Order: sequence, then C-alpha cells, then structure tokens
Amino acid sequence: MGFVGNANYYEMVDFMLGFFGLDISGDDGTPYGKWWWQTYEEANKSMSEFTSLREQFFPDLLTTLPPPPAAK
Amino acid sequence: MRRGPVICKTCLLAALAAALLAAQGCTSIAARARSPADYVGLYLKDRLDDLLEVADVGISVSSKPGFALYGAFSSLTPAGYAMVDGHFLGIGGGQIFGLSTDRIEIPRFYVAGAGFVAWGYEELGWYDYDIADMGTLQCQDVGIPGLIAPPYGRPGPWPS
Repeated sequence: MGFVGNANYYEMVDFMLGFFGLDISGDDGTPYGKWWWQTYEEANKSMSEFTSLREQFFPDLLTTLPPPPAAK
Repeated sequence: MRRGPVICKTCLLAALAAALLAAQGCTSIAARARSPADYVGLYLKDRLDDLLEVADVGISVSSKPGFALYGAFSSLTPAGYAMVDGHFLGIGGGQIFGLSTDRIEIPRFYVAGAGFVAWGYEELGWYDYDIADMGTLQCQDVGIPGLIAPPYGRPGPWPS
C-alpha cells in the first residue's frame, strides 16, 4: 500500500477552458489525450519514442513485472 | 483622456489569445452528439471527466511486491524511484473511488518513475493499460531538459 499525490497543471487549464468549448488535452471522449498537432494514432505511436529512455531507466521492466490480466 | 488606444490594445491581445487558444484544439462534442440533449449530456460528461483528471490523490494497493519513494515538483525535480502495478483507491485518472462516467470499477494503476533531480523518466497507466504496449501508457521525460526537448509525452500529466 502506498500514498499517491499528484497535481496535473495542464489538466487544470484544460478543465477551465473546457467550459468555453476548448479541449487542449485532446481527451474529450477518449481515454488518452493528444497534442493539437497530432492525431490519436500519432499520439499513441509517439509513446514508442520513449523506448530507449525506458530501457535506460528500467532495463528489466518487462521481465520483472507479470503480464497484464487476460481480457474479460 | 485617451482610452481608444488602450481599448485597441486590449482587443488585440484578446484576439491574439483567442487565436492561440483556438489553435490548441476544440472539443469534439459536435461530432459525437446525436441530438441537442446528447450535446448537453456529453458537455457535462466531458467537464466531469476533466475535473476528475485534475489531480490524483489516494492510495495504491498491490498484491505484487513494489516500491515507491519518488517525487517531482511540477515535473521539474524528479527524484527517487517508483515501480508499482496494482490498483488505486481515491480520486484521479478520471474516476473517484471506482466511479467514472464510463464504468464502475476500481482502476488498475501503474506507475514507474526514476529521477536524479535534474532528469528523470515517468510512466503512468490507468485501467486498461498493457505495460508491454507503450501506446496504452502516459510516458514522459521529466526534469527541465526533459520537458523542453523531444520526445514529448501526452499532454495530461505534462507537467505534474
């Protein structure tokens, strides 16, 4: 068990501007956001650009964690 | 009194701000709504979703061994190490104690973070993530150089 505390500043602005019809996080109606210059596919693919960083910081990540639970 | 130029400057700044904001992206409600009532419902749903993403405050629980002693002030000073894959009880990730606008389910929660104050790296996952599929995660390079230089993470936790 652990404590989690996190403030998402960009989401705060997104929440306020949302009242005026703007969606700066690109997350209205979708679980994952995107920048305005991206499509949702590009945003998902862009996460793979972090592969080398992941390998540097967590070299054994995929071997130390178990696979996700099977889909229901 | 010379109010004209002052008002003109204000109008110019407002127009510039509006143009900049418009370039950021507009809501997709109009494309998703099937009726005026649906539009109102989606508008309120999106505002609630956004509100529940503003902060993550709660406890993580996991039956699997994990460790976390990690902090990053505004994504600028990442320090410590975190590796937790479990569930989350609290508010955050678009839900509050398992209640969201889409489902009633205690969310799966994943965080991996490591930093050396000046530079670090974070991954965050909610609900239906797959650690092997980075497209289902929110990854970001943190610390001042990480926030400025590419690659860029998703906008949600940037910065947090």
